[in-house]
Amino acid sequence: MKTYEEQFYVDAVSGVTLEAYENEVLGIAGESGCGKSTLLKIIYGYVKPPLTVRSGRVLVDTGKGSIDVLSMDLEERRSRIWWRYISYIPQNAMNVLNPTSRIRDHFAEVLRLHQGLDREEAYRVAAEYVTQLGLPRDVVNAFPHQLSGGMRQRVVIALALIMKPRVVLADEPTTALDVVVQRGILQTLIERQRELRNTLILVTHDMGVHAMLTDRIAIMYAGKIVEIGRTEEVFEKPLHPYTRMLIESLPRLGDKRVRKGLAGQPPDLRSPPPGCRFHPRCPYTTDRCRREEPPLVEVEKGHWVACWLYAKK
Amino acid sequence: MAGHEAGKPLLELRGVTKIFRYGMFGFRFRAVDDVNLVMEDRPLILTIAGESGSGKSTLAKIILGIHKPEYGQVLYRGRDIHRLRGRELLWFRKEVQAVFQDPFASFNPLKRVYGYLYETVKNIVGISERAKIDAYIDEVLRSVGLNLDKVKGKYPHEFSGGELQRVAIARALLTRPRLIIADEPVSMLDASLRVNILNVFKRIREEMGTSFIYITHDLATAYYISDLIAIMYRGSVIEYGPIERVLTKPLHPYTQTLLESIPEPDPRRRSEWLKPIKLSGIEEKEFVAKGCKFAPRCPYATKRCFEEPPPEVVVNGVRVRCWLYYVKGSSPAEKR
Repeated sequence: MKTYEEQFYVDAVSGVTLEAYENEVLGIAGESGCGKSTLLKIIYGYVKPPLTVRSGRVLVDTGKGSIDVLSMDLEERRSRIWWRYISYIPQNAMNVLNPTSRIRDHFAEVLRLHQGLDREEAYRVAAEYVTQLGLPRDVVNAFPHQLSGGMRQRVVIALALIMKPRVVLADEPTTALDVVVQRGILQTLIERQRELRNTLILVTHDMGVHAMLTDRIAIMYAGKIVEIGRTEEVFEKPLHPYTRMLIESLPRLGDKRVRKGLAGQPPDLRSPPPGCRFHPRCPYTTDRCRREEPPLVEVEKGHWVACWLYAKK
Repeated sequence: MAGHEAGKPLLELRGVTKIFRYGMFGFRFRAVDDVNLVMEDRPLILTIAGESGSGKSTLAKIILGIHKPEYGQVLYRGRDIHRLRGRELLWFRKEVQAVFQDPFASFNPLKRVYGYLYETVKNIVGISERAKIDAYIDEVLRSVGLNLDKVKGKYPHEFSGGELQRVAIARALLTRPRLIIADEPVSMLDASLRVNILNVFKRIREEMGTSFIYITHDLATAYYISDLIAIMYRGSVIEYGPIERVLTKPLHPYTQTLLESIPEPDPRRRSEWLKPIKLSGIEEKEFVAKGCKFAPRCPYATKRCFEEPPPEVVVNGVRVRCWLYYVKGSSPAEKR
């Protein structure tokens, strides 16, 4: 169980069990406050107050056995796992660059720390690397403010990928960008993933982005994973009432049929409702849903859902 | 300004241009550049769509009378709105109302939201009896799926984003406006709740005959509710017409690029969407380009596109600003 602390506890991520495989793009979807970003931070091991993890493990296969990210202290994570095994592309990544140093110095710092390169060598490697990724060569000499938002975002992604990490975590990597720029950046991200054959875990609220990029998708609601399966299957045959209503509420080009949104709002996670956390908004609620939490069950191969509608069969 | 001879339009924009200056040398750029639009006087929903920096919000502010354009006119039922004074201005404010993106920014957090509704009715609608005011507010709140009991006595933070946006819409409806200008009214809300607000717009249009100008970057929601769409790019309206036609058979290369790039919630479109595209690093420069502002990124650009601003051409009832469709005159633009 993973929890936020603030005089009271907010049960932001609750009892999540999740596997991500090699050479896979795993999407985590859900609406604001569902815990998807918190979950990603925990996977990265970026756990700082007010965020605390009350129980659970995050295991990463390094090729030489697996390590529990959460068992290390912050310093150890920084020197042993981050960049090399796990990289993180945060929300608003375009604002994480240091405005007073040139792009090449951002690269040099990483290369010095993790590959022991000297400054000149690091500059050369950085310049070569960005051109490989299709960015203009002089990007490395620029200061962050001289680049457009889209270009900065691509720099941050390039930085995150330079050490060829086994796991890349991206949290809403293109949310503030225009759709054309977004498309270009996500294409770069997926090309790199295919090249490195690593694991990309992509968090976004945008179901369109999931449909275009992810192999599997996990749907979160109020801190829990309510459904997980192959992306095509989840879109074509959503099982959980929440997933179904979410997908059906999305307007699509070329389709004017009347759609219905969800009624009500997500629960306050300081005191989540008993039983299934979706029950107050669900049209199929029974007494059991109000009392007992539904387990995650495999309905079809690789397609799991946490809902009593399926568990009782 | 062709095509409005029959009947009086509700809204007409003639060559509207807004110039902003920035930087120490007074660098000027046209945030809105020679925009012409005509909206008929019947219940319609018009979308003004564009990406960030396209000028769509600036245009909304011009139509609301918040910004004054350097050139051109905005005519509301035949009257230039930037010249209205006194009683006429009050009339305009009754007729044209606004709903903004962030409902929490539209209401003072220290003030109960009921106060806004009360004052609007008292000062603008002109009802003075308390009981009648409450009855009227209740009636309007019901049209957006709320009621007086749910609202009275509450502060903004006691509402969810979706509810408070409904209150904002109700406040706009109190004056029985003929036109509501809604600037990104659903982009702060969760996807599953957006459609609820959009449905409110549709119902108000049907039941009260209110027209809407819906300003958004989201073409899927635009398609869902609108009759007409104007696509903006770097300050210009580059395509304007019935939404069905513009979004299913786009003419302008920019509209085409935009539509192809939307990630739709349909995995079957994936391979098409993943076809590699090129991105340009230059964005600011496009505002001051001499010719077509899309030319540097356009796959069909010719020399002429870089040199002369494209004319507005009407193709099957759609107005498009692109040399590709220009046939009259000496040398028609060629497809390359």
